[in-house]
Amino acid sequence: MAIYRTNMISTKDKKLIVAVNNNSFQSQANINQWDDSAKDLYQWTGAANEFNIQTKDIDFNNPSRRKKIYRVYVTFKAGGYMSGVIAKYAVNGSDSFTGTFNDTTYYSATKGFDSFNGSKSNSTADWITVGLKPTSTLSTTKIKSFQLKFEFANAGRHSYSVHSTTGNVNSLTLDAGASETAGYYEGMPIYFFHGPGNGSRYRISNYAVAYGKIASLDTVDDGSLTDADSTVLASNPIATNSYYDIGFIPKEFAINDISIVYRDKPIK
Amino acid sequence: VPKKVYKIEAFEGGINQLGDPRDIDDNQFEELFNADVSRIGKITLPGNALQIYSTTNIKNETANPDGDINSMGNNSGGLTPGYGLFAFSHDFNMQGLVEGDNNPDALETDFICINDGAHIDIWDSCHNTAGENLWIQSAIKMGSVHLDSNDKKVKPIYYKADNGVRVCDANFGQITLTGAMNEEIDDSVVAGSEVTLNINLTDASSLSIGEYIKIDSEIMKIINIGTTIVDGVEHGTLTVLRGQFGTTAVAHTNNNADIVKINVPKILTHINRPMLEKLNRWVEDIQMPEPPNNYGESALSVFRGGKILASSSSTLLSGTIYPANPEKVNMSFIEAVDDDEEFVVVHTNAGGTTISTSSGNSGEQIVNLPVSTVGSTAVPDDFPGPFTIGKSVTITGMTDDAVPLNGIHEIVGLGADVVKIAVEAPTGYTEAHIDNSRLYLEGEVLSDDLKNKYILGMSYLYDGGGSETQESDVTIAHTFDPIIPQQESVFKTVGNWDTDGGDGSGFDANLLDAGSDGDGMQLLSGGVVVNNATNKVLGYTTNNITNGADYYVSVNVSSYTDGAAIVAVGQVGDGAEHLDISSAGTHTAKIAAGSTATIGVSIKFVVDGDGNAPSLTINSVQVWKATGTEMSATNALDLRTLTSAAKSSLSFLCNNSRTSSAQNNSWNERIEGFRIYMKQVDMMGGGLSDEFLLLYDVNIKDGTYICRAKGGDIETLRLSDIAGGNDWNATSTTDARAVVTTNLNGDSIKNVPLLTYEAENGYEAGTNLAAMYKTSAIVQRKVYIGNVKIGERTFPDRMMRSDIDRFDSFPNDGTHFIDVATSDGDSITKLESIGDKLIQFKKKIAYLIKVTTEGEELEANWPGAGVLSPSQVVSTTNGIVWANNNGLFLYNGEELNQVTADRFTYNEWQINENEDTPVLLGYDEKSNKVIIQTLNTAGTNSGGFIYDLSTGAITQSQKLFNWYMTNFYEGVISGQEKIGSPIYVKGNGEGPEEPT
Repeated sequence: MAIYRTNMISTKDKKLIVAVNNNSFQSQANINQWDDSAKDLYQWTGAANEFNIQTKDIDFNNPSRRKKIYRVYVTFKAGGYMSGVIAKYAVNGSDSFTGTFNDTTYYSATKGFDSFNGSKSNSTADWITVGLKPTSTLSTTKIKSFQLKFEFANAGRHSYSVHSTTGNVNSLTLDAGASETAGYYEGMPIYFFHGPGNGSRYRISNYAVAYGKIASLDTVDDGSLTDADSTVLASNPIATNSYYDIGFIPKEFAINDISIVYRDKPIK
Repeated sequence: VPKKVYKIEAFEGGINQLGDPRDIDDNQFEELFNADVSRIGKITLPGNALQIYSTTNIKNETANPDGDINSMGNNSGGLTPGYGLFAFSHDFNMQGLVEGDNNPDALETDFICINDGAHIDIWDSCHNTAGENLWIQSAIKMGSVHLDSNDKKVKPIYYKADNGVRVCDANFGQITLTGAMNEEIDDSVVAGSEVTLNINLTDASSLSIGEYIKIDSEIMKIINIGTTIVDGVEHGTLTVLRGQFGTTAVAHTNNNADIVKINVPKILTHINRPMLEKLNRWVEDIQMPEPPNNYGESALSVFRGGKILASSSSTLLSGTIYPANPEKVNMSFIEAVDDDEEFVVVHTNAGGTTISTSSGNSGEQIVNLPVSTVGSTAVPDDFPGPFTIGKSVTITGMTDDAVPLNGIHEIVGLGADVVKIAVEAPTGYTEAHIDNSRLYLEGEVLSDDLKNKYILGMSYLYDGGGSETQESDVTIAHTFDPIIPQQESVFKTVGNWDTDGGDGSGFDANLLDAGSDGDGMQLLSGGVVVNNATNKVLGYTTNNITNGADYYVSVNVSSYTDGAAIVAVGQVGDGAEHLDISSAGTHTAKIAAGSTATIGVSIKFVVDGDGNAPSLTINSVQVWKATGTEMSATNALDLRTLTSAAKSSLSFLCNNSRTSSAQNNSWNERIEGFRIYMKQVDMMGGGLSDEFLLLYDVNIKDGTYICRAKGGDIETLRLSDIAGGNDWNATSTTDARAVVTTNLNGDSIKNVPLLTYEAENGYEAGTNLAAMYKTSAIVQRKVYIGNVKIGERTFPDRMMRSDIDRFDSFPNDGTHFIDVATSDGDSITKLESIGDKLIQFKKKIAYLIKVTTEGEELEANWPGAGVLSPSQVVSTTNGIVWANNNGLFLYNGEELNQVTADRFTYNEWQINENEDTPVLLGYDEKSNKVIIQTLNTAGTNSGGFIYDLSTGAITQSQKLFNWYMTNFYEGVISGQEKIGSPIYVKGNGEGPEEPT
């Protein structure tokens, strides 16, 4: 598909806009506006997959000396969601980010920084500091430099429609191909991008597979991470032709600081 | 060795891919994709452009342009990449532009323009007082040239100056209808006149009224499209205005000539000012100030040797000769013989005052002259009226002992009913020596240096910025030649006035002798006195009358007591079309001629309704055939034979009324006035002088005018008060009620006007003001356009400049163009202003130009800093930012900074400049960021860079402008996060398709 965009201009109300259409719909267009506030990075649009942060290759101001990396502390927030952002590392300027970190309370190596687990004791506005321990001590004992990468976990599921609604105002049954593992999607954000309920965004608070792949939803927009939110779907109900995106990167995700605990190896 | 902690708390350095990842700063990143570091100490997710634009208008209503934008029927091939969008604000909305008969509301309103092919649709954010928003389809029509491929799509270039938005197709698009013409075109029709062309039927169907076409190099405007049958075959017909957009009407000798459709620069402007009455309207028009045209009738019609304003006392009469259409002007010239300027000196006036002498303050002798109206001994009603001390009078006709009074004298005093002059008093004079004299007031004598032949012409004054106006070229007038020569028309010579009835046409004899009792018709110098001449006929013989043709007649009656007169052409009496006169004043009419070959004009005197015999004085008679010819040296206005000043008058229609959306007598609302010029015919060789001398300066905005040959006084235009109707009425559709005139007595033409067209404009009349352009910028209220096309010729590396506040006039006179560097082989792609400076971008290089009152000075040139497309440049609060394959640049008004120089290698900075799918730069004022969209770089097909002007950080982005479907929905244009407004715009307009 050929996309056509006009020039970008600023309006009198200080908004940056651009008109867009494509070769299939040449006589129509949308006028989109840039909003600089943080936005969800969805999977179904491909934007989440492009998320990529690579720090400098850190030699701890001593490039020739070997070090051991003990932990990497990351202070983050994700609004009560499973963030979908995972951390990896490369050593000695290899640019090969094969190094991973162990799971911990606030971090899953497959699903990312987890403020859902933390939600029971923290508000959505709190910063969470998680200590990440490299899964392999070997790779962190003979390094001269260390480089971190944050990327999309890609652990969710998207562009499928709801199998059925449960009759409950806060749960639904995902498509048949969804995970067989109970609790797998818990904490992940879910966004309905097409069909009934279009535009609505929730958190999966519970995922059960015993009687179908039932996801219970709540919303954290009210700042409460623990209430039942029993009426989340009431105002904007979904149906079997509602298409979803689970596990994208929520707009609340942010990193405040990164601390690396290391020790210089003795000089032999 | 103790453990240590290495902390990274700052991230605002952004990407640095120039240095080795190990050597960049701690706050910099090797990669920073779809992340934002503009919030100090945090990494967050970036914003995006997936929201449908929405705003709150002046009425506090939510307004978003998601409605009829889905009806861009001319936009085959889709939007033009990198072009088409423009936003502006105005203190009025566009109410009425669609509705036709409503006025815009005084509401601060934001507008968005987008091109729908060669048309411009405009979104009005607050279209009415209820706060509703509206897309106005085809608010501006540049033409119909728009092709599907990106390189041939319309590329609108906009600028807003003062009250108007201008737009030009930077593609200079044209479509050729090969061999469309079915006939040759001669050059007998001058520019601005219409002609009907015979063309192929299928080609006619592809054209529209109002569209501009080109045949060879001549541009024409289509004003009508029809069909005709030739030899049993149906053909199309085009009625066109010749010689438009600065071109000349010439012959086209190929009867299978191509017709080329073109787009022309247009303006949509809000006119909110008086035009005699209040005017509040949006007006679309071709951008250049087109000169008056001769469509339908002559732009300026000059009636020589007579009067066109019919009046009785101070009332305008409906017979006044005025144009049939607005934007046309009638003008008359006659030698000044009116009572107002010409008087008689009498020995004893009707009040008993006699000529006398007295002594002045210095002992000089003073003669007290009783003056009266011509033909009587009565003191003028308004005495002293025009007489003032210091003026001069010219006395003629004194005889015998009174001869010393002849000559020019200064008025040294005024008595109760006498004019005092300082002169040695004659002696021995009698009443007979005095009573045939004439007295002419100063100023009513034609200056000797004005005694030449002239042609006349008219220009329009279009609105400009501030109080400035933009003057069009001058269109030469058409003249209506008088049937009766000047001196005969005012009875200063007898000529063909029939004096003996010898031609058998019914005219009466003894015109020269009223008889001993004074009854009959008596021809005097300057008039015919009629007394008890019932059923007598005053006649003028000529062979120049065409049976059945229309003629204008004009008869001036200086005094009237009783009876009536019947004026006819080519016949006598009231058997056919004629003009009835039963009052003093000037009487005019358009009447058809009868069939008597030798009768020019006849005036038959009859008793009036009360049975009273005719008693009146006729001062002038004139007849014109109702078809004019363009003025030239051979039919020029001849002022050489005039003994007194000429009198001129103007008449035109103007009242801005509309019937529903149709204009009645409104002028093009952009026109604020007109000027009438005179150009001298060279006595040697019969050529024409170079200079157009400004004769009339008419302001229809203020309702005033200045006659420069009379003096510099501002006078008030006279709004019609046609007898039997109300005063001039802005809503009346009756033409006569919309007649506007100069003063009824006429304006004295006595001095050579000093102002010229060139003095007023800075360039000569005839200078082409039309240009197309690929870019524009405004500096110090002057518009600069770049990469221009003038006529058939393109100038890729040339800038042109308008004069201050003349935003639509680009004179091609050799002094309004700027060639900064003509030898670089490069072409201008963008002009951008910053303060009093102008950056001229070419494809490979950029030039910094300082604009001063004296002109333009080159301050710097920046090789490698050029751009391929205007969308690669954006103005920010920090300065001008632009991007090309070499990097990202910021000019802050003082110095140039290549922002990417210390962060990206040449290979890493990939934006892949391409003219057909240009790089886009936009400035988000709220975040102070420049968004850079690289449309076509492999792997980042909707990605680009984000440059934070506050921190200097650059990050990369991908898929933040469109929602690219990963599995299905091939038809999706773009997404919107919220339900309600169209989330997916589908071709059938019925909402999103279901996934399959």
